[in-house]
Amino acid sequence: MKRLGPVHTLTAGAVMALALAALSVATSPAATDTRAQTASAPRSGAASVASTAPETASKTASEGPDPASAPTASTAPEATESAAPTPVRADYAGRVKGNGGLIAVSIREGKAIAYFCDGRVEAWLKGRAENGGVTLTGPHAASVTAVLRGGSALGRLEIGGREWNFTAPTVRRPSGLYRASAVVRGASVKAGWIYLDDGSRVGLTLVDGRPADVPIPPPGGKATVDGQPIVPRSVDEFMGEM
Amino acid sequence: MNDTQAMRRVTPAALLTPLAVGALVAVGLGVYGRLHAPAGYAVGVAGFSGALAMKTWLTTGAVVLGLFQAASALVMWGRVKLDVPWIGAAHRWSGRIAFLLTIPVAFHCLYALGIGYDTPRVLVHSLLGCFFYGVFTAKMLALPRRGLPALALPLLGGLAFTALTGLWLTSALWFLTTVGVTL
Repeated sequence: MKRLGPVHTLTAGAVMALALAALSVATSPAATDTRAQTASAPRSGAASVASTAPETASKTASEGPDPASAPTASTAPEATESAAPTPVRADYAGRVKGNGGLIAVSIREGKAIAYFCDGRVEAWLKGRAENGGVTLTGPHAASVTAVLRGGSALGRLEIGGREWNFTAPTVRRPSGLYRASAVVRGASVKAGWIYLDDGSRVGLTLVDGRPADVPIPPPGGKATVDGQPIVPRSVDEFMGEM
Repeated sequence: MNDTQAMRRVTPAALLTPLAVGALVAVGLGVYGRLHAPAGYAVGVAGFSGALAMKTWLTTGAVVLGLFQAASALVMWGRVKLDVPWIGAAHRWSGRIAFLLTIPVAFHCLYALGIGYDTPRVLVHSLLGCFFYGVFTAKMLALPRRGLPALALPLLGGLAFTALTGLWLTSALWFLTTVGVTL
């Protein structure tokens, strides 16, 4: 027994890794992921129309899909809209009506995060996704509530005591939310960026807590802070930090 | 078994198999980390605010046990004169627990994220991670062998401890300083 102890140790480690692998594969969000994406496709076009003309939000379903956003759009069933379950994994991004900012909401396994930014003010929020909606809170009494319907997040943002509505369609990389945390020459750098399918983008880089004049990188590109490249990380990569 | 007599004959060849298997483990993990498409998601230990917080604290736990490993090894080998009869058992069990603490961490690294070389920190961490499991495997396989050179176990153990410390510095310390201290 004693002689074999070390081998048993290694075996225990291997068994543990295999068990984690089996659980991860069994609970992988990949299967639900594709369903959520195809169901969301027709609305993503409609919703981006809605974001330029807020009044039309309720009747955009009949308008054709935006050619820019989704070639696979028109075949998805409308039936999924009425009884949409909470997606296991989803990424939404869109405009906040009337304040010039963009908002991104992402869901992974019941956990939700959101980022609002207008280039000067930003807010990171976190919360839960359940019952077909998300509820998130952030520092300084910021909050976001939204219902998830037809592949869009329709909701309300409250920040600094004021409220705005937003419509955020599903987005896919390279559109969506990115974040970076780094230390450059001893200064803590934190940044967030949102990219929309129509080319809109917004971001804010804080160096030691203060906004810095850092150009928003192109989607998939790197930002440069004080001569150092900063790699924006996607939701999957930074979700664990939140 | 004739333990005491066999111990005196030094046969460096006894190290060959442990080192070869350890090398295979290190290279295998690296190849897997490069080839496997990162899942972006992995099952881990519940009860933390997020995957990185979970990894940070498990790794910190492993490093603390690692410090005990180094200290208890000194006592076991008589470098520090202390009469602690249970030190061997304590060394073995703390080592086992430390190793098992790292498994969910490494699993998340390799399954959800993969090997990266975008920044020096990530590159060093990726390489050290593969090296750690290689050298740990080699040490475990070397332990029951007879006739090892006197330096073999301290060297393998020391390398494992060094690698673990490097892993902590390039991950948990980074998390605690750039993201913050969160459970």
